[in-house]
Amino acid sequence: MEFLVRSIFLSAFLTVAGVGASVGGKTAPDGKTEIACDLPSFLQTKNVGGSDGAGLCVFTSIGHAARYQNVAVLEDFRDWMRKYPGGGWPEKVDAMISKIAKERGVPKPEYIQVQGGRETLEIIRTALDTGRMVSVTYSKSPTGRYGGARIAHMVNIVHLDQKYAAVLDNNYITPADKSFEWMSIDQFLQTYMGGRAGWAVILLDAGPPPFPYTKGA
Amino acid sequence: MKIFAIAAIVIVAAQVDAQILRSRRSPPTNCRNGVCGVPLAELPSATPANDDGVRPNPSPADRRDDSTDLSPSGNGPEIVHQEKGEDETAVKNFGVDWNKIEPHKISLNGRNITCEHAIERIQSQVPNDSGKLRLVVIGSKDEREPVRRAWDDAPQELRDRVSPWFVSGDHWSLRDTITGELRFVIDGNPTIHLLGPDGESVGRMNRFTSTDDVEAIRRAVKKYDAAKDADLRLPDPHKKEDKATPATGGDNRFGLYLILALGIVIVWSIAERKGSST
Repeated sequence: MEFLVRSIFLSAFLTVAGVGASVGGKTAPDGKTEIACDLPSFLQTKNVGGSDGAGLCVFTSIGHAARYQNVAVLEDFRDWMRKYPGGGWPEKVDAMISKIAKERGVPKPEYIQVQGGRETLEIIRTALDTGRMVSVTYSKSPTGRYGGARIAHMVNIVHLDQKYAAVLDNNYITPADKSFEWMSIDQFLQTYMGGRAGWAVILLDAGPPPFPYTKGA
Repeated sequence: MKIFAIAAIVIVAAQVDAQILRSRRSPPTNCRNGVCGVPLAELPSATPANDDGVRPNPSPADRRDDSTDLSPSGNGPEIVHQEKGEDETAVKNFGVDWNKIEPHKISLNGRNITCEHAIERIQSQVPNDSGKLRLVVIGSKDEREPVRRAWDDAPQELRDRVSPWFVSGDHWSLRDTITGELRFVIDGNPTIHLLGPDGESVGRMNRFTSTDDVEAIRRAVKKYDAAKDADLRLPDPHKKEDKATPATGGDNRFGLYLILALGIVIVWSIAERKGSST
């Protein structure tokens, strides 16, 4: 009995003491860290269905990154995709990016796609560090969204440092103070990889410039 | 023993409370496809146009039609694709075909990269702009286009050092996303800012007359001392709050956890002593 009580006590403590995932605004649970890619809420769009009703989370996420990085041809990627069946995978993204660029008579934007495990985290980090918003797979909410169930989904990762990751979920486009799901790096890897392999799409155009200031002013 | 019992009751009660909170987020059984379980209060049906203080811009986002919204709060269409997960429970699919994602595959613009150094190569394909100057061209499309054309014809050496950004005067990136305050001068035709990597102003032009102006930019870039470039990945040196915060400052909850841990150790050792004495 005593062992049981101690076990409960310890497990509860470890649960409380761990870096808990949480839903919040642009600042991490530590109250200091701010998201790296701050896409205004009026430019965030919800996931919708394609012509067959299947979801367009992949193209919604890429559209977010396009708006953040000023890649005009892909800014309305989600809406353009609504006349096609939903669902997304790497080869389909290749085909659709080529198709939309050709249809609009503009050069195909530069992008990379990464599929793999933990080793791909540094590529995602490099992209975020250099001002790019990344679209990533997402399999389970660490904060209990979706009833804690396993899902097949793509979201945007808007922050990744040594302690925190933050995602913008296109199924939860909400007021600014509840827009982002903050989590530990391990929790991010878990949801990104989904027990198999993760998939990330990175547009190579640069993100927005910093605000100007005058030295010494 | 009594202490443990009381503590256990408190913890179990807290966990039950947390479970109740979680279950409130779970899809009710009468929901179509089980995708409408999140309280509407948490998920407004449309993105607020101005809740972060930014002046709303007409954009593709504002023209959207969410009639077939797939979000958990929406009355979306049937979710067509369902797959079986490893735990044999149905996986809700919001648009990713996970079966077509390969464990190790990297591509650049659709072309597979199959060499042994794929990771290194792909990392090199993510341009590191953190040390580049920024050329910000603000104006109408007609005002921006001559600059864009001249920039495309500029020497590669210059373009390698500068990352351009062409936007209209009402673009969101020119304003503070919290206060809505305009942070760039935009009164030129067009306005051309040349900024250091951290935003330090190198120079500005209020019009663009010819490709000779690109030469002026080239001279300014050449003159710029790259050795003083800041690394954008480091904390913003111009933020007052960052300066005020000690570098060793940790998570706000750390102290609480420390007290909890010490309390547990003390209670545990008292219990051990009592146990050994009996």
